[in-house]
Order: sequence, then structure tokens, then C-alpha cells
Amino acid sequence: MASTEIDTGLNPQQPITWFTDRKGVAYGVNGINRGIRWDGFASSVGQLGVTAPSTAPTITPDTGGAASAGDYDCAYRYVARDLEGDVYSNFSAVATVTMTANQEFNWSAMDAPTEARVTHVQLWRTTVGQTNVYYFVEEIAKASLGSHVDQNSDATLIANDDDEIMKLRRHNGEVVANRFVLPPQNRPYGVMFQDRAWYFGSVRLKAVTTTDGDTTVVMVGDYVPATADIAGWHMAIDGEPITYTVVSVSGGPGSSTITLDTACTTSATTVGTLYPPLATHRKLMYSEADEVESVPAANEVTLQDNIGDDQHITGGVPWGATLYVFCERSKYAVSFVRQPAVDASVRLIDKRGAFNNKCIATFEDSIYAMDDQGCYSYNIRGGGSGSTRSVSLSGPIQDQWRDGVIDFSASDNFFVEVDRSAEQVRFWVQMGDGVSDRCFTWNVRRETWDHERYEAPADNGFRGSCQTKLTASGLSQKPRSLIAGSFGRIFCREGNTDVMSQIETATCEASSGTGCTLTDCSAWAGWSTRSYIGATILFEETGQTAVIKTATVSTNKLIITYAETISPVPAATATVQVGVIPWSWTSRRLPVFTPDDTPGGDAQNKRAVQVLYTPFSGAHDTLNLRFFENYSSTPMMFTRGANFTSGIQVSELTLDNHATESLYSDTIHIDLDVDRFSSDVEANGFLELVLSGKFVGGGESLRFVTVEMSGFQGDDKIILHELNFVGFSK
Amino acid sequence: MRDAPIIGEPLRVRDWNGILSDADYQDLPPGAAQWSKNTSCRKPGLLEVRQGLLEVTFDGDSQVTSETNHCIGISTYSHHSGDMILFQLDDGSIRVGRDLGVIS
Repeated sequence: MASTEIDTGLNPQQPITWFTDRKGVAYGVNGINRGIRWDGFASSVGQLGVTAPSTAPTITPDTGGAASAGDYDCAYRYVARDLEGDVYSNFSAVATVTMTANQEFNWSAMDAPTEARVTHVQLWRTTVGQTNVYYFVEEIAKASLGSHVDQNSDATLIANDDDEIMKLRRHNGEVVANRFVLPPQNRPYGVMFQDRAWYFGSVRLKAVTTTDGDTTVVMVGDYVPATADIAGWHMAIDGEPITYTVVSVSGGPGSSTITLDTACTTSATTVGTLYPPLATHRKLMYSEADEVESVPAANEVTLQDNIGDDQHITGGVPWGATLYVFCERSKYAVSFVRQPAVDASVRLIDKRGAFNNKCIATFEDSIYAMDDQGCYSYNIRGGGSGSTRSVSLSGPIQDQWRDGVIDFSASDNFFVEVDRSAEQVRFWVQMGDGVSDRCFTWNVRRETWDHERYEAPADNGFRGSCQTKLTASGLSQKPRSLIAGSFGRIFCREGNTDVMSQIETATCEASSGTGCTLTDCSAWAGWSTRSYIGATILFEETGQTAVIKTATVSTNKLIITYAETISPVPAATATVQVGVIPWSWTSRRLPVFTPDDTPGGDAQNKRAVQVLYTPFSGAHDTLNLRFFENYSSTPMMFTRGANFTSGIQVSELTLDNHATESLYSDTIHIDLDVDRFSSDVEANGFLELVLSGKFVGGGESLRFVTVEMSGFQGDDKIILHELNFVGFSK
Repeated sequence: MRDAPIIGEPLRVRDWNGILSDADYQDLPPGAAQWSKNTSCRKPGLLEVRQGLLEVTFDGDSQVTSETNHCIGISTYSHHSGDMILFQLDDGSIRVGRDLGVIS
């Protein structure tokens, strides 16, 4: 892969949240590790903020200077001279020195910077007899840090430029010189809101944990954070009567020993949860104006609990003059004018929230989000206020939330994807199989729902999306949505086939329920073995499908294993198409005409289904029909191989056989090929399937029919214009 | 209540209304589906099969990724020099990709 690695070693249990300031620098936080920053040029990221030196300087008075007689305070700080501007540390500890008149200050014993981004060290001191106003003395390149002589008089320093004079505190107690506090490390979400960076939320890290009746517990996992990251965090252990505080961590990966402040009471293997102190979990920290990396401890706004439910913050999105902060089942609006400490306001909006930070996305003038109640939009500029702007979208598919279809235990993996050019919002979920490969697609303009399943990239599916444009030559630079998932793969929607750029065909040389060996594929099997993972294989003779889990290229053969075992085993010489997209559409339950609702309905003498489609010259696309009578889940059966008319034939595929009647089939094939006639006449895209059956009043006769369309899309796009039902009422 | 039909006049589904699974399937609008997979009713009057997926490559690479770790996050970085893609893998690394294309 021609991407470039710019950082390693982050804890992957919480994905990085990125935001960008107006200088174009990207900042990332995950609530576990120290935050990072990247300017788009450097070969690797830098750490967020600059750690202050701890040791006070040694000041040795000597003759030869211009000091006044009295006490002086001296300190130094680090400077990271970045392309986008300087970033400072707080002052070191202060050294107070008593000078006599006309002495000089000899500075020494200053801590050498250990952080790579630090380039310089600045010396600052007060004038005689005061402790609040510091004056810039000298800036020293990092490599030249040693002893330095300061022979300046107070009058010289007082004449400094304004930006070389700095107070320790303002009159109201706010810190100035020491405002360069590192952003909080335990906040997983960060946004740029107006001229400040805001950090909020908290993580919870769960894993199997074994207690042994003492102060040490063993937590399973490759990514238990280090002592430096979680000392002082809390640990709740199932079965223990109290919550403990983490003292230190050792060992790992695989398992780590965590030392707690108090001995556990049990000896058991259970579940432990690590989390930062709860006192901070509803506090939003904000930076100084235009100083993303300066977050003094006093810069905080608390989300007061206004609904009796102390929920965790799960994400946030800034929009205009408001920062929308989401909890699991509620959201708040935070706004300020100039100084949050003075004029910030927090307002409860409504009781709709978000599963996580990736379940919040914006499109046009609305926020789209997903919580345990379903999918909804929040119109930023709509009429009314608060909850009146929230509109539930998932009503038509609410059974998916209500009836246990969706696996909420996997909600950390859910996300919302916006596709700007297609004007669609996709809500990605898991349905109990551990794979995030399904989404419900909201068509914004038409206000309708589709359901999509993407087998690629296989394994555990997709984990996130973003908007961008492809820039390689020959490709449209329209805005696109990218989705990222297993095996580091990133996909865009392009063409009519999945994973493969076109349908590829081959013949099996060997076959089993778990895989096959393809031959006759030398023209296309020379790619990376990774190229095929997630592609759907269609076995032409049976109509079976399988999804490729692994593929190995061996002397122009492709040895494939399937994601799931298939049965029956396809023939050893089966022919396959690789890259098809399976699809289906099931109609409402259509009522036939009856005399009860239509005078003369029993005189209806024709019942038929008409399909209007766009014909094409493709060989790999299929459209099948199945019909279900009344409330039956077993499809209607037709004589195998029978032709209704040219282009409509009852399937002869074995797998389409009726469950108990081998002479009959469930499935009717419709040929979409423009050349399906043997004559020169091209198909006009209209096919009619005439069904038997006439309403018989009072009997156990046909009352309803459900139509299922399905098939596989190959190189040509399947487009249906109309589906007409003759002999059915609305 | 259903409209009275005209004998012989087909019930035409021209307006595809997507999935309406949380309802009585006998009362759905004609163009609504009990369920569907990989179809799209985004365009008025049409039911289409969704677009395919192709893997994105970076910097003119002609091969798809051989990465073994999984992506856990992705973000667009709108840099002055053009869009970049920042993505995180489950081994704790962060990668950046530029000049996006697809395998053709």
C-alpha cells in the first residue's frame, strides 16, 4: 500500500477523533494516549502540547550586570517553533534569587528538553521586588542550552515589546504565563468550536479480569494502557463491592497486571472496566483562544444533569454558534460569545442521543444520528426549538430496532455515512453475525429507506467513512464517500460489481463446501491475493453463491476458501462468475380482485405480472421471480423448464426445485438481454408473466400474492421501471 | 380502504417507496417493499441495484493493499495542498494516503 505511516503505538480500543484548526493543522485524541498533531508535511505526528520543564533554573549572581538590589523570580519555558506558529510550555519551577546592585544573572542547570518538537528555550524573569510580571530575557536554541549570562537592567526589560512581557495571572486570577497546560489526555473527543478547541467524553475499557483477593488483578488484552496513561483511573470489577483506583500497570501484551489502591475481596475471573475519574466525565474542557494546545484546568464547562440520567458523553459536532454534545440518550447545546468562563450556556435539547461519535454526521442543514431508539435527523435551522427539530426517520423500519434484529452489543462499531453527491445517509449496524457489513440507506430527497449489504471487505466489516474525491487521472472528481474496514481496505462506490472491476469467469478444478480451486483464470488471477476477498462467487449451474474469505494464487490457479460453508457442494467442474452483487426486493401482500371490494371482481379473467426494465447486452445479470400465495412462506411452484414466453422460463436449476416436488421449480427466470429474441428484433424491456388462478368466493382460494424479485447484478446495471400487477387491487 | 379497481386495469408500481418493514404487509403502498437487499430507490421512478465497491489505492499504486491489520477509523484531512485520508489500523498505527485512485 502506498500510504505512509505517520504514527504507531496508539491504543486502538478507542479510534482517534480528528479535528483541524484554521491554520490547517490536524489534531487527534483518543482519551487514552496523549493527543497528537500533524501539519501535513512532517514524516510523523508530534505530541499534543509541550510539557513544561520541572526543575527551577539555578541563578548565580555575579558582578558585572545591571540588576537592582532585591529579590527576582526567574523561570524558563520550552518553545516548539512550528511552521504554523510557536507553541509554548508552562514555566518551569520558579527560582527566587536575591541580587545586589549591578550584579548579573548567571542561568544554569536548566532541564534539557526531551520532547522532539521543542526547538528553543526561553528565559524569563521579573523585575526587582515583584512576582507577577515576567519579562523575556533570551531565547536559546535547544542545542545551545547551558549557562547563560543576563546583564540586563530592569529598565531594559520593561522596554520590551508587548509580546515579551507576560503576567503570571490576570487580576481575576486567570493564569497567563502558565496557561499552556497540556490538553486533557482522557477525553476521546475533540472539536474546533469557534476559536477554541474543545475536549470532552470519556472512555470505558472492558476486558476479562481475574482477581486474587489482593491489590493486583490481571486484565486480558493486548492493549491495556500503560501506567502513565491510566494511573488514577478507576476500575470497576464485576462482583466487587467498591470501585478501585489504578496505581500502576505492568506486563502485557496479552495480559497485564494492574495494581489497585485497595485489595479486592474475591478471587474470580470476571469482567473489569477501566475509566477515568467520574468527576470529569461530564466536563467539557476548552482551550485558550486560538491556542488548541493550551487547556488550563479552569477552562471547563459542566453538562449539568437536567434529566435525572447521568449519561456518558458519546460525541459532539459544532455547528455555527452551537456545539451539540451528544450523550447516549440525550443531547445538549453549548454556546458562548467570547469567554466560555463568563458567558457559556448549556441547554438540554432533547432525549435523543448517539451510540458513539461516529454515529453523528451532518448533511445540508441537518444532523443525522443513530441511538438505541433508531435513526433521526435534527434540523439546525428548522422551526421551533429543542425537540421540535428532531425527526425520527426510522419509523418505517422500526421493527429492526424493536424486535431484536440489531445487535446493540456491537454499537461501538456502528457509524453513520453521508454520501453528498448521492444525497444519501447510511446507518451502518451489525445484526448478530459480528460483521458490520449492512446498512440502512436513507434517501434524503425521496425520504425512503433501502437496505444494503456489502460483503467486502470481509472479516469484521466496515468501521468508518469519510468524504473526499478521487484524484487519480481518468476518474471523476465528484465528491465521494469512502468506507474503511478489514485488512486496511478502503472502498468507494464505483461500477456495477463488488470488489472486481468487472465480472470474471472461471471453471472449478476442485470443489468442496468450504472452498474451491479455480482454473481458466490466468487472465485475471495475477493480482494480489488480497484482491478477491469479499467478492461474491456465483455458481452458474446451481445458482449458489459464496463469499471469498481467502484466496491464494498458484500457477494461474486461484485457491479459494469461503466465508461460510455452502451446501450442497457445487460440482467439481462448476463454472463461476466472480464479483456479482446479489439483490432482492419483496413486494407488499397484493390482494386479488374480489366481489367484496370490486363489483364483478370475480369476473376477472386474467392475472399477470408485467416487468418493465432497461434491456442490455450483458451475460451476467439475472432477474428471478418467486410468488407466495396468501400467507405461505413456501413459493408457488411451476413446471421445471417451462417457457411462458420468449425470455421467461421456469428455472431448471436444481436449487430452485420445489421443496417436495422435484418436477417443479419455485423460480422464474427473466432474460434481460436486449438480444433475447432469435430474430433481429431487439427486446423492448417489457415482459409479461401470466399467472393462473381465479378468485372463488367462499372457498380457501387465492386471496393474496407476494412477489419476490431477486438476482445478481453483473457488468450491466439492473434498472426496473415498472412492475404491473393485472388482476390485483391496490 | 382499498380503491375500487377497474377490471383488467393493472396495478402499476412506478413509484418505488423503499422498505416499509414495520407495518402490515397487506396495507403497504404498492411500491413499498416488505424487505429488500442491495436495491436502491434513490431515483424517482426507478428501482436499481446498488453500485459496486472498488478498493481505493493511493499514489498511483496498481495493487490493492496487502495490509493485514484492520481499519478502525478514517477521516478526511483537508490540507492546503489537497485532501488526504487519515486512517487508523487496529495495531495502533496511523497512515496517510494521497492521490486516490481505484484498481481498473
